[in-house]
Amino acid sequence: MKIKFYVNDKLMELDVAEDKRLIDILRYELKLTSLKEGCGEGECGACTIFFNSKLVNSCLILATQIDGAKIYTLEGLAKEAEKIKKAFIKKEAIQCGFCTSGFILKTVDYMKSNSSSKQEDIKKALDGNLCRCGGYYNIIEAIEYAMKKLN
Amino acid sequence: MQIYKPKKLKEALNLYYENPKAYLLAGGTDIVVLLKKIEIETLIDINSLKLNYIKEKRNSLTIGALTTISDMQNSKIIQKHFPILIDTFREFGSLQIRNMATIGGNIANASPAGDLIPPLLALNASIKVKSINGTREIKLSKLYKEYKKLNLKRGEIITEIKIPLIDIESYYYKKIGKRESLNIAVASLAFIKTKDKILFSAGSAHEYPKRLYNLEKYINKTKKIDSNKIKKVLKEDINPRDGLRSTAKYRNRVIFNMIMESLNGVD
Amino acid sequence: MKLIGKNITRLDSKEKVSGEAKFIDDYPFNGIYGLIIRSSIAHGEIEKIIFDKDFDFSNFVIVSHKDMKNNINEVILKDQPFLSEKVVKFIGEPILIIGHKRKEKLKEAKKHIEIKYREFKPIFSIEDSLKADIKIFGDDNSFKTIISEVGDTKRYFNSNKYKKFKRSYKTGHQEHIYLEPQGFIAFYKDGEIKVKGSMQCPFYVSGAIKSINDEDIEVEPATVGGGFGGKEDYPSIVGAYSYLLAKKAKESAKIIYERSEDISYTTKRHPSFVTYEAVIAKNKIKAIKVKLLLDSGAYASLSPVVLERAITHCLGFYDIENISIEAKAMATNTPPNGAFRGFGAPQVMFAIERFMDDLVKELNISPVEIRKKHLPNKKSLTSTHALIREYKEVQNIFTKAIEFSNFEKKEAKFRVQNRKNKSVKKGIGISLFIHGTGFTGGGEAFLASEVLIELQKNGKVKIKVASVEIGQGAVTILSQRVASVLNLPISMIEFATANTKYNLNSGPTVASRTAMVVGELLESATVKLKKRLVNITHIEFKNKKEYLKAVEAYFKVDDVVEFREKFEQPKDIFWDEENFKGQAYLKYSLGVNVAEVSVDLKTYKPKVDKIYALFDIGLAINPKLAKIQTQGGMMQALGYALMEKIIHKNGRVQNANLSSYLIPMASDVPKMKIEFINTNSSPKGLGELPMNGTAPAIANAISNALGVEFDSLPITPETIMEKLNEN
Repeated sequence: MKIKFYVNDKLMELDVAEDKRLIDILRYELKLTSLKEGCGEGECGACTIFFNSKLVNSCLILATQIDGAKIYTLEGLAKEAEKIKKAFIKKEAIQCGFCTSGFILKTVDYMKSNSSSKQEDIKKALDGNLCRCGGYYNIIEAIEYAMKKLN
Repeated sequence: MQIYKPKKLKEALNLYYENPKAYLLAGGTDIVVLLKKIEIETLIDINSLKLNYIKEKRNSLTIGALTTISDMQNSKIIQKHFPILIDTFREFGSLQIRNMATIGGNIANASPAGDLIPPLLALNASIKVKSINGTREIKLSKLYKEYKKLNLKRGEIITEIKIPLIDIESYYYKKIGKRESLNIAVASLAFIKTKDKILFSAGSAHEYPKRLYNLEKYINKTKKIDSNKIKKVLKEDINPRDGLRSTAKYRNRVIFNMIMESLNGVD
Repeated sequence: MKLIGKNITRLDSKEKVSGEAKFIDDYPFNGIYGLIIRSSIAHGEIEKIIFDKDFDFSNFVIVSHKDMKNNINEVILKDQPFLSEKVVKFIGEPILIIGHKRKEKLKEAKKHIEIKYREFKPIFSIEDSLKADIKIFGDDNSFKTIISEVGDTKRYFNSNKYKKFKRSYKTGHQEHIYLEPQGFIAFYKDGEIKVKGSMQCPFYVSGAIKSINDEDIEVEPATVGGGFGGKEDYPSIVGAYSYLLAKKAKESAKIIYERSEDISYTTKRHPSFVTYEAVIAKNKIKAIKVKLLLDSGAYASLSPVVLERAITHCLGFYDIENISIEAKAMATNTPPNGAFRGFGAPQVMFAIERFMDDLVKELNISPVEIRKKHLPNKKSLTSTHALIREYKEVQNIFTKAIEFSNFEKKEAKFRVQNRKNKSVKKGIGISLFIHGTGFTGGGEAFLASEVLIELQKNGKVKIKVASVEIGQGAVTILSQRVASVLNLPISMIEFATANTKYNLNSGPTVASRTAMVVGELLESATVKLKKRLVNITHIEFKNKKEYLKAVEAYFKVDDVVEFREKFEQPKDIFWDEENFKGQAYLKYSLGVNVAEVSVDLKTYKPKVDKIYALFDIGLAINPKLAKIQTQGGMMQALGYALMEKIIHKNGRVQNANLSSYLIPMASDVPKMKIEFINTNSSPKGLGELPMNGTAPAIANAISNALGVEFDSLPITPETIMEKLNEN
């Protein structure tokens, strides 16, 4: 099927199979590899993207659903994610890096819609993004830092 | 796999009637996972249908079947009338999942562990279904009769959920899993107390979601709550399974414990 | 500029926050995709493989055992084929690899390949394996049996004078859940193959590939999305498959596992069954018999050496004079188990630390007292008959931890609280644990690791070793060690990807050995470089400016740019492999965890409120990265304690996805108070240590909260309910 949609503000016109997953379109057709496939079932959050301003798992969306959509990946969020990236580096919130893009996008969304920098609220918000290297502490600290010091 | 994307409801109803074995694609959070496990011949993507709304009417609240969990969570109307649902949404998947999953999808998936079903049952919700033969309204409590199946006629699509606006005196919702969050319910309980009665429903408690009628009957009649009697009555209401996520014994016990907790303070 | 002990920002963070770091599946690829056709039965023989005549296989590449000169993937023993020739020993055992240009074609083709088997009775448990009426390996199903004796246990066990106490402990399969599944690409260009993928040990992969057709193939890791041991041994198999497919197809070939495939068929932590029987006098263990059984799965893989580490850690560093150990790695018809952070130690540290607390109840003394009674002294021996050289450090860390956590006061406080509170019970538990750095016994001598550094014309020093960055911070930490010797800023160090063609084999990125063993070798290679620079130029450089002057002067008269160092076993390390006796490790790291838990009696759900952790890893080269590493380890151990267990049914994994195999999320993180002590000594291993102590501390805390003893992991709400019902 022919689809038109925006990715990182660029109009894309593609001819893809209707059952192709959005994650595969973004990663393999459009070479946007910041997002990763960790589970393919919406459990790990590594494939997180913005879809019509909502944070979603791109592994659970099919081509048939994306005509007309506005999509953002980490590659297209240079401005919004700048401070957060700095905070992640400063607080060593990156280890193997496979989950990182998902956590940064989660943080972009959290900081947009939420003002609480309480640890308990940040923790709850992070659920849905898995990290196996760290104890999440470094990520929580990075978000606190981004909210308190960089905002 | 054949995928259809009807633009109008009528077109969708025709397609579904013609392809009774087709799966409907709403939020996709269950279907896309299912695609890995089974072969689906026909998929009808109903996302073009205008079924995303929350409306307050005189005696009820109506919610379009394609309304996402997040939209409901952020709805002032739901926050005002049904705090029990807000508690339920908070425990529903992750933010990413809540942004995709729909109320209609959660109901239609018919999982005994479906998060929204117990509170909706306790709220005495109904659903509106449409097919080429017309529209009808049925009680949610009549929708489930066997494991993972809907008691619907050929070609019927759930289009709307209706919750009666009643005065809720108190409510209780709890979901149990091994993690602090993002669990598929090992067990859950929803409890609603109105001026004249108490309604119960439990998740992961039976082959299919249902109200705890025997328990309700006992509680609504009795003057003094007897925990042994509750245990006995409960046996007639629930029949949880031994499974990957938990044991029948555990589920029985914690559902009983949750019932006792929910009744705390009720006279 | 002394960089050791400083919090240098990770060197790989920029490319990772931007999403530019390339993991294997992120590389541009033009070639064929591979899928593995696996056994659907747990034990039997292949009778026939039938390719559906009505299905067009002409565009598929099909690899079988016939495409190899040698079909044995030798890890420790020579028992496991890359592809089954006839016998299959577990569900998921690879039989064929099929390749096609279009990924979606592979699943379709799979349906048209029918494999007929003659089925044998399978074995799914250690108990059945011990009976050996069905044989999977040798005569007794044991891949390795080790008997180890220290002192004389018989004298005590034959006497009736003493109290005897026996308990058994059980643990299950734990899965690594590295966020990035296993994956490889064999790039094919002009008849040459280069293998790239997700791995911890590139030289293991190149060795495995070489064993097939005696071809030297260049292997290089991509950015690796976590390993935890799961990418130690297993990538040799996936890497070999990608090579075989590319070779046969004469095209690039890519194999990336799906999560369900990864959980179902790759290695796991060995399930264990450990029994201690102790003779006790005056609250002290006089003699102990240990029976240690591991479930290895269908092939030996790394099980013999995992078993060795289980033995060396099964009594911690407690002072016990008479020890008798019988240990076996048993075969079952389940996927082979392999390396996983801790490597046999987490199982036995759980067992011994629970045993100590079971003694607490039996002898009616406190958890602190029982451990104090058994703290080592200068005469104490390890389970392999070597002096516990770290005895003072053990005493020190234990004493400090009791103060640090305020253990005794809190235990008393919780006891009072629990009398009043009927719905939530609080408990506190302690664990004292160890981890030996590097390979066991003669392992490091056998590896004979070599490192290489290269002085560049611009003065930058390039590190060329086999260590792989898997998230643990290897690139940063090793660069710090080199920079420190030369008093240079970190930007003067370059770290070459662990390519097998250009780098030296500094050994596998495992066994908590990178920072210490590889780091020390790099330091001495750098000292060589420094000496030569000074000798030739007579410039005693003290900073970057002077150093650059020296380099400039050096290149005018000299052209030696490579500096190497090779591992030599220290003279004071004695090891007798045959009798399994001696100093088992170069050094030991130490730890104490204290966990505070609450158990909700309505849901039986345990919640870890707080963990105090003291670690002795010597000097932390980068304290901040070290701390984060320990947090990650402790969370992985928290998962092991409370929720993580692979469930098999008739040899098939039932919970092969992340909605049924649960790992901890941010909400599960307890408060953690972590400190490093003994930081004035030289660096020791870190990576695995935090995996060893958290689960027993949590288990002891839950036992303490409820007054019932837990003897298996994980401790789920269901097991808590059952235990409370029993009592």
